Formats: sequence, structure tokens, C-alpha cells
Amino acid sequence: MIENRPYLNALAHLVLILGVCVVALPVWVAFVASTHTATAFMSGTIPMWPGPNLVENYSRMLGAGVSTSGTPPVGVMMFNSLIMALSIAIGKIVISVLSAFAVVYFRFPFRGLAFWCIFVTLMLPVEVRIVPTFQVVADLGMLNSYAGLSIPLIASATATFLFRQVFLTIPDELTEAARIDGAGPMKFFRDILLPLSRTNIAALFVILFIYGWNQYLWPLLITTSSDYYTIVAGIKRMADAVDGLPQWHLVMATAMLAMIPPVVVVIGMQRLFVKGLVETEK
Amino acid sequence: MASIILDNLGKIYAGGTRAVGDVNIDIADGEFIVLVGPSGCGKSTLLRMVAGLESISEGQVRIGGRVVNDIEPADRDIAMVFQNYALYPHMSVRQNLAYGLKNRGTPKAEIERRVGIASDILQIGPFLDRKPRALSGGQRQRVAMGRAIVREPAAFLFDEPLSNLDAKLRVAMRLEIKELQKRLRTTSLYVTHDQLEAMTLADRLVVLNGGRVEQIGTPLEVYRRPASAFVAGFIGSPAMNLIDTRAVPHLPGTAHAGQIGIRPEDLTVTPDGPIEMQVSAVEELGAQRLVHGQTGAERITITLPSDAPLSDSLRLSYRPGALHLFERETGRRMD
Repeated sequence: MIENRPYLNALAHLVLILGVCVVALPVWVAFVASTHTATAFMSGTIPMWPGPNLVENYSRMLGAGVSTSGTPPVGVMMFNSLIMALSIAIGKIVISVLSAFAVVYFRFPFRGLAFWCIFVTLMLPVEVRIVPTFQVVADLGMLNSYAGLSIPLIASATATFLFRQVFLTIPDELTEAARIDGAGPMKFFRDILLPLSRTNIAALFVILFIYGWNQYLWPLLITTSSDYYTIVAGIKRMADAVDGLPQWHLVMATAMLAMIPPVVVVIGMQRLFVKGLVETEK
Repeated sequence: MASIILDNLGKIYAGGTRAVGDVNIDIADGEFIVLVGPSGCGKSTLLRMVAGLESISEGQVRIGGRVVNDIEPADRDIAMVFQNYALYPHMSVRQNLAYGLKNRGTPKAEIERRVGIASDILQIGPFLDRKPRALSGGQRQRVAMGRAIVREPAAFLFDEPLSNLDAKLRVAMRLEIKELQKRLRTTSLYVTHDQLEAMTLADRLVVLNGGRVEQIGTPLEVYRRPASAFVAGFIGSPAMNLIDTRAVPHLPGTAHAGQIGIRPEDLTVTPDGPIEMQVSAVEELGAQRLVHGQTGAERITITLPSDAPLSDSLRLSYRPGALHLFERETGRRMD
């Protein structure tokens, strides 16, 4: 803003601080809950300050897990989630960057049709096609496998469009200069296109990793063996205590742990992410 | 080093639009040829056909005696300098220069040597390790030329390389390009819409209009004996006066022509001159002034020394031989 009005500034800050509070309060409550004993939250008053059981709760979740709910230790579920999120993020980026390259730089028969086919998949997210997709994955014997967890989610029209837009902003002269410099199509792709879309790839990786990490419905549906439970689906299973009360302190400890990898990815990629937004010169 | 021969070259786009037709140019080894014309005249298309970036619909391009119609740009032994420089933004200047050589499998030591020579010639040594975005326009222009030089090609192709620079730098770089070309003696094909740039750089000029060659000749030939009314109006600044003969029926020897052309600097003010001019505006250039006006319904401009007396009405005369006569229908020169 060009204007400099103290009251407006104060108001803007107030709104922002309120927003942060609204977002942060549930996280804080979850953290507090994860540091108390099982009974603390059942007593009627919700404690607002951390309790004494932090080390105990977390070490229990990391070591043994909750045997009564049939979930494996948190470490195993985190690992499963990590594999799934990475496969989805990397798979989506590889496929979409290649398909955008094909659509933008090559003149092949049915190019328009291929483009529209990709476009149509935008209207078919997993939730819409979940029954037929389940059938296909089951028939291919991919239930309870990492492939089954990630492959059906890899195709991405959004990412293809994003890269198409990025490639369209790269000046034609650059392509021509590379041609004169003797770079063939794949060499041009590797030496010029990939480095130029580096920041976009990083930004997309952040978004897609979180998308993959937060998948809930699909893993819930196709994993029946506890070896392949992902953390997000696992939390739900833990909260579904059959006889007796859910062990909220342990569920919350798991939720806190589940939050760490996406946060790490966002913080780690922040610099590239911002650079991708600031850097305009191509 | 090589000659370039354009033999009956033509370009027809997919929709049937003809961009270029019947172009025949023989470019000798080491010659500096400038293609000049208004925008949309096909000069860039012609250059891109020589470069191999545009397919050839008719005729042949021969570089060093070899027909290159179906040869990839990289294998045509040419180097091109683009209007917006087209430097790879993520590579340092050194990498930009070396990229083409690396792709051809040139040995490392040889790449080093050539990059060293080019950076000495162009004085870009101090910023070899910078990225293009850290350079000024003129420096980027030098790097773009360096990228052409390191390849040691048979021919340089320039596509309006100076049009992104400011006026002062453009004049300086123009001279540098000229000197560089004289020194390296590399055959060059240069595209511009700026007739002054064309005049100063060219060994020979090719004036294009509507995809056809209007005239080929040295800058002075084209200036002194324009082959058509179009060339006459395009080359030279201020532009030649083109006057319909019906507006000045009393001039001797012009009755059979459609248009007469006379350069503003060939007109002088004399009390009994045959052309009468009503002055409408005066532009001061310092050493000279441009006087604009009308004779009958036709516009006319003359160049006068800045201390020449002015009045609302002037009588003009011209040297014998300064008059150019053009046909009415075709615009071709008559003598």
C-alpha cells in the first residue's frame, strides 16, 4: 500500500493477529492435549497449559502405538505417508512437466485431442471416480501396496496446465537460439526448460506434497493391512475406539507428529517458493 | 567463411499467404549484406529461412556451395544474433558462450581458447561469470555477439540486433559491428527496418517491399539511383520528395513520367526557380533546417542552411541531373 495511515495499519495488524489466533488455537489445544494424561480431557474443564506427560505420550506413540485400535507405531505410518506423498508429488511433477513439454513444443497428430483429454480429467477428481478406480486397482492386485496408494492419484491436469503456462512464457527466441546452438529436443528440455522452471517445480512440489500427505479417503479405502496404514487415515482409526473412550492424548500426540513433515517441507522450500513468485525475468 | 546464394527463394504460409517470393541474392564471401524494408516486408522471414528456423517453400539456399534447405539450423554453420539477445538466463556469460560449442563436442581447452578470444574482442572479460540479468542492454548485446563469434561460423545472421538499445548506444554498437565484421571478414546478413543503419553498415543493400526485392546495390548506388519510387522514398533521410508530374506540368522533360523524385538537399532557393512552395512548418536540426510545405496539392520538403532567409513563399530550383523520374503505374525508374 502506498498510503500510510497509522489507524489503518493498526487495524490491518489486528485483523491479521485475530486470523492467526483462529488458526493457531486448535493447534495449541491439540498440543496441550498431547501433554496430559488420558483423564485430563474427560474431567469437564479443558486445560489450556501443557501438562507433565509430554515425553511419556510421545515416546509411547513413536515406540509401540495404540494396540487396541489396531494401528501400527506412528513411525511406520509416517513412513507410509512419506512414501505416498513423495511418490505422488514427484510422479505428478515428472508426468505433467513431460506432457506439458509435449503439448507446447511438438506438433503431432491429435495434439488438440490429447490436450482436451488432459483437460477433461480436471473434472474427475478421485472422489468422483472412486468406485471404478477401486475396481481397477483391485483387479490389478494393487490393494495394500505403495503403488496402489500413489499411482491412481498421480495424473494431474492442474500441474500440466501450470507447466504449460510456464513454458508459454519462455520466449521463442530462446528455443531458436538453442536450436542453432545444436541442442536437440531432450537436451533443450534438460538444459534450458528444467532450470528455467526450477522455482515453479519447487512451488508445485510443496503443494503436491501436502496434497499427498493429507490424502484420507483413498488410503482408508484400499489399505486393509496395518502395514500400509498412512498417518492421516491412522488418526481416524485411533479415534474410533470400539469399547471405551478414545485416548485423546495419544490421538493428539499423533496429530502433532503428523503435522511435522508438511511444516518441514514448507519451511525448507520457502526460499525457493518465494523466489519463484518474485523472479519474473525469463 | 563462405558465400551464400539465395536462388528463387519463396515462402508461402499454410493458409496460402505469400510472405516472400522470387528472391535472388548472391552474397560473396566476406560481404556484409543488409536486408532493409518496412515492417511486414518479409525481411525477417527471409533471414529465418537462411537460418533454418523457417521452412523453405520455393527455391534454394546454398551456403558455401552446399544446398541447406533440409539441414538443421545447428548444422548449417551459421550463427544468429537475435533482437532480444535470447541469452540463457540461468547460465553465466561464460556458459552462454560455451553452450553451442559444448553441444558440438568441442574439446574443453578449445572452448576456453575461443571464449577467451571472443571476450577479448568484445571486452566482456570482466563479466564472464555474471548472469545475463546483471548486465546492461549494451553488455547483453555484446554477449549475444560473442555467442556468435565463438562458433567461428561461415556466416553471421543478425535479426534487428540494435533495436532494443537506446539511440546513442545504437550508434556506437553500429560502428562496433561494422569494425568487427571488417576484422573477422565473416559473411554477414543483417536485417533492419532502419534505413540509416542499413546505409552505414552495408557493403550492399537489399531493399525489400511486400516480400519482393526492389533493389540490390551499394548504399551509394541505391541512394543515387533508386530503382523505384518505393526505394526512393524509403532510403535517405529526410525522405525524397515524390511529386506527381501533374502538379508541376511546367518542368521540362517530365511530361512522360508519372512521378518525379527530388531529394530535399538537391533543392535550392532561387528567385526565379521553377517550383513554387508555400511554407507550412520549419524543423531546426542545428546545422540545418528542414522546411516543409506544399507545391499545389503535393507535400514538399527542403533542407536549407540554418542561416538561410525564410519567407512564406519560396521559389525552388534544382541541379540538372538531380531529378529522378518514375513510371506512374509500376513506380519503376524510367532511365
